[in-house]
Amino acid sequence: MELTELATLMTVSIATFIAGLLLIGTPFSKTKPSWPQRAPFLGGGVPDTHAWSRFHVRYYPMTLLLIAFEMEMMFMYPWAVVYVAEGIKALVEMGMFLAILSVGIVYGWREGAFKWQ
Amino acid sequence: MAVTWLARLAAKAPVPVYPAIGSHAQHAVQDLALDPRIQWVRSPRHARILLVAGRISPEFSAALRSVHDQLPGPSATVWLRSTPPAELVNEAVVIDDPQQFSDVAADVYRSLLQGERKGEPDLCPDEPPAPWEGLGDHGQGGKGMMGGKPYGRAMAMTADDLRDGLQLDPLSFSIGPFWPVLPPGFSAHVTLHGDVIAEVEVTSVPYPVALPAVFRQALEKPVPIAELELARARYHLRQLSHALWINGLESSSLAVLQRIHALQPGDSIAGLRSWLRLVGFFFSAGAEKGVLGRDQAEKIGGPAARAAGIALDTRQGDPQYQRLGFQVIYGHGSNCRARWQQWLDEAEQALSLAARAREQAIRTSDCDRVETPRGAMGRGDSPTDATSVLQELLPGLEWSEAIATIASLDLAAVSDYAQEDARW
Repeated sequence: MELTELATLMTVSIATFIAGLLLIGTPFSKTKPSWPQRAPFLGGGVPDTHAWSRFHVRYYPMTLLLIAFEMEMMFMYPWAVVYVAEGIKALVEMGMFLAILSVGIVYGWREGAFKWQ
Repeated sequence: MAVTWLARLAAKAPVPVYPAIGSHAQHAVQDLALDPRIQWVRSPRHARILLVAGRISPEFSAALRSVHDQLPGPSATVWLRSTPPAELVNEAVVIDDPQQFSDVAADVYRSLLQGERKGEPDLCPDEPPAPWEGLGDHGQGGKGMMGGKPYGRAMAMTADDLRDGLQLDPLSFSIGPFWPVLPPGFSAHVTLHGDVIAEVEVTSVPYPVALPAVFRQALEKPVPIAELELARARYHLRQLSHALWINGLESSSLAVLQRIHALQPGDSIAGLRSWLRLVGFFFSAGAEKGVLGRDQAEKIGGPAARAAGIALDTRQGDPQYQRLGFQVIYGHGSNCRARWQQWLDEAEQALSLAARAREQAIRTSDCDRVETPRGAMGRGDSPTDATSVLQELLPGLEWSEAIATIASLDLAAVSDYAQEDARW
């Protein structure tokens, strides 16, 4: 009956969940390293502030990249459906399309669009 | 039983050691890298043994204590020509000869793993650096994102930021004297905007560097040019080996170090040059950065100034060098790649001059000034420290580029001791 199967599944998953939590928790139950051991390594230097720094999300360049390469993906979806039937001609045509778009990638790369800072 | 067998097996592995380098100890520590029983690690967290080599200035004792505590326990410290602090004196391992180090380190490592030796205690007090206790006199706590130091932070406002004008969280810290990537004894207070250095303030200059004895002897009497030039080639190859190590090309770095010990006049480094081109060293981070201005190059002197186009070399005025056909090498450029090329070219030139000088047994004739690998040196006048140049040179560079720039420059003053002097 489905009910017994469901009951077995629930039991096993709850048991695994509890075991998993205990396993993850083991490092926190031992004594943590002392404060001097946990200090950030700066070759002997001291930090002035918390090291959690905020990063730019850079909405505008990320949106441009998304639009460009998402539209490339959109063209690849219908191609993927008919590609096997169409054969080598479809592969070559998609290859040419990707090559043209990769010029855009190279341009973005050289302009520093992919650098985090 | 299986655990002791396992511990014995583990004890045969290369010992992970973190070096804390003091004055005049840089060469000895670099040479220890050739020993396969030791593995130099890049962070104290990976190390089991801390090597404190050379005399540590008293102002760095607090920094040394914090580095010592950052080694995960159980750990031990080996003091090579250095004095342990009072808390550790009883069980401290103090040695005098760098050659003994690998035996001693292997022995200490084995005793730590087998439990014979207890780890060393922490030297710093076990207190949180900045306890959060709500609103306090020192600006702790506060309200949310605008809360005080160190946990709160100001809102993002438009301000000067080297990246794009939106100032987010400048990160400031002081990078200390015990990081082997930097010259020993060099510490600076750095402000970063992301990965870009915004400000550098040098808080302590590197220890003066000890040159081979032959350069000082050249100021007293004529010395064989072969010996002088061989020492020069070794010095530049050592700098190159350090730059390779920083870039992660560790096996190349060790190969260059081995080459240094077996170097003879007349050796060719064309093979080394093509290997470096192959592994892409000349295109590594910072190769095109670190551009020196004219006055900065003049202040630094030596090969860096010659690479930047200032064609000054004391050897030009020496008739014995002119007999050997000496030509000043200069003008590669002002960036890091130019300085690396300058080292390679000067080393190659030094080796060919040494070969010719040895055949004809030629000695130097100018006892007033000598061209050392660090710069021109006279009797009362040796190259001075030029570390303040970094305060103008580094802002605007990314971290990796800045490290490469520091490694490509030789900024320390020249010490009165010679490299071979065992007194350190």
